Amino acid sequence: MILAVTGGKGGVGKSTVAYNLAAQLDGCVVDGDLAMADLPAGHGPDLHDVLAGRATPAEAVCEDGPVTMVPCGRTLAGARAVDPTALADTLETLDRRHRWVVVDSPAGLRADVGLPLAVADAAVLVTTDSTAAIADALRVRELARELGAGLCRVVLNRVEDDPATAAVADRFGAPVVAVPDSDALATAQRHGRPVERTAPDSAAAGAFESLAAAVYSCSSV
Amino acid sequence: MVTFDCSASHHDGVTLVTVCLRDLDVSTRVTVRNCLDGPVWPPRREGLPEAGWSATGFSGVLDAGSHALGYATPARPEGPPAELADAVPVPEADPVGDRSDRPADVVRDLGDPSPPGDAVPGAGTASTSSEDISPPAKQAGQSSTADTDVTAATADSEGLSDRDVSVGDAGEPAARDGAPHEPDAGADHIASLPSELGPWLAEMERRADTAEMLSAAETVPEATTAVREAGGLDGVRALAEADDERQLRLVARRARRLADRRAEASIPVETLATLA
Repeated sequence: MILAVTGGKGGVGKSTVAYNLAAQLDGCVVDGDLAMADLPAGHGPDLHDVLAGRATPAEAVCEDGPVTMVPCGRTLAGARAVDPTALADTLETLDRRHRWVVVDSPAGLRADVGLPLAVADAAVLVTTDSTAAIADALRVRELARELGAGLCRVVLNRVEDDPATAAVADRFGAPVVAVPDSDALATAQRHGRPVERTAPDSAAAGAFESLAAAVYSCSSV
Repeated sequence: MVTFDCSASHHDGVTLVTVCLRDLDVSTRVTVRNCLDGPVWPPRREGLPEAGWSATGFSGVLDAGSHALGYATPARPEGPPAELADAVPVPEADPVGDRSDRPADVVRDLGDPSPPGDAVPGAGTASTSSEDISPPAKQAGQSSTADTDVTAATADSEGLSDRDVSVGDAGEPAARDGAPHEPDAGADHIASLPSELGPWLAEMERRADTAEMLSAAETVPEATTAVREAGGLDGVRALAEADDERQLRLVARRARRLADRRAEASIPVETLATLA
């Protein structure tokens, strides 16, 4: 199952959510931000190599880290040399080998956001409770709808006490999972580790557990 | 019933062909074939040919009504430029151009996410081929493998050095655990540098501090202090015009290159000692 983690606005925590969700699902996370990769780098072939035809998707899968992932190259030249349309085939190929393929989408509304949505079975939208982030996430929801990716959950990220989850759920027409603002989570992400490993008892780890459970329930519908 | 006519005009070595299909009663699948002795340069959006175009011409479903199709070719206009090879009414089919989730359509609709060529250091030559009158070769498929390879090679050669310096903030696993913050070139770091560099870096740091103070000043007292710190208005002007940033970046780049060379060159101390 291909799951696009997306949200429109930059800096709302898409990569953190994608990485931790993939860890919970024991899936493969793909760093889909072709020009500004966020997830940890690997040592072998990366997504740039795959999309430029220099490596197969399987060769780019990096299994020696805490989460199975396809890292993305860091160079602008590499980003320029890729054929973005190949992303669709790449994700479908990975989907045949992994139960869960979680795509960390870039910010914006260009084709690198649209392509994962076009092949995804479901989308997880990430937003903070700021008006700007919600407005952008609503735009991506429209795109996901047009491209046939069902909205599975909205992640309301970095919430303080008493988040307005009901209002956000109402706005998006989808259930909301709130992820608390957490130092443990930020530190884990900075070190390239899922929070379930570094702070399994933290509220953030609990939030990703319930997000993963929700995604499971989406897949069985 | 379909009325077909076409015309061609030649400008600067390129022939522009205009095809008109009029009075389609229902949605119709049409095939228009290029008759000129040269490749079809189809209309493109975001570097990709519009839906329905191929190397030989256009084939796709058009809505009822009248339509114009146009393409370019390097061939000279001799005889009729195009022909209507086929026209089959297909009332049920979706006309070409409707949004779909095919990858090429997504890229056309939403825009190519690749960074612009100008943004890629040293790749200026790679994306300009001699026949680059047709749009960016990188996505045109098989016809452009040579181009893609050149760009790819650039990517490879730059990959290593770039990767080494730019990954930090993404949270490299393990290796950076012990050093969450990059050394910030503060005074204590200057102390461990060669003595020739220390004073110069300290001066650069002092000037950066002053510049930051000037830029952050929001009230009159703050601005007054900052200007006094900078040595009066003349000092402010001199600071604004100084070339500090470029110089620092030059030094950084050179230092990085040297560091890379040192990292590459492993010195076989033990072997040499044995030989001696």
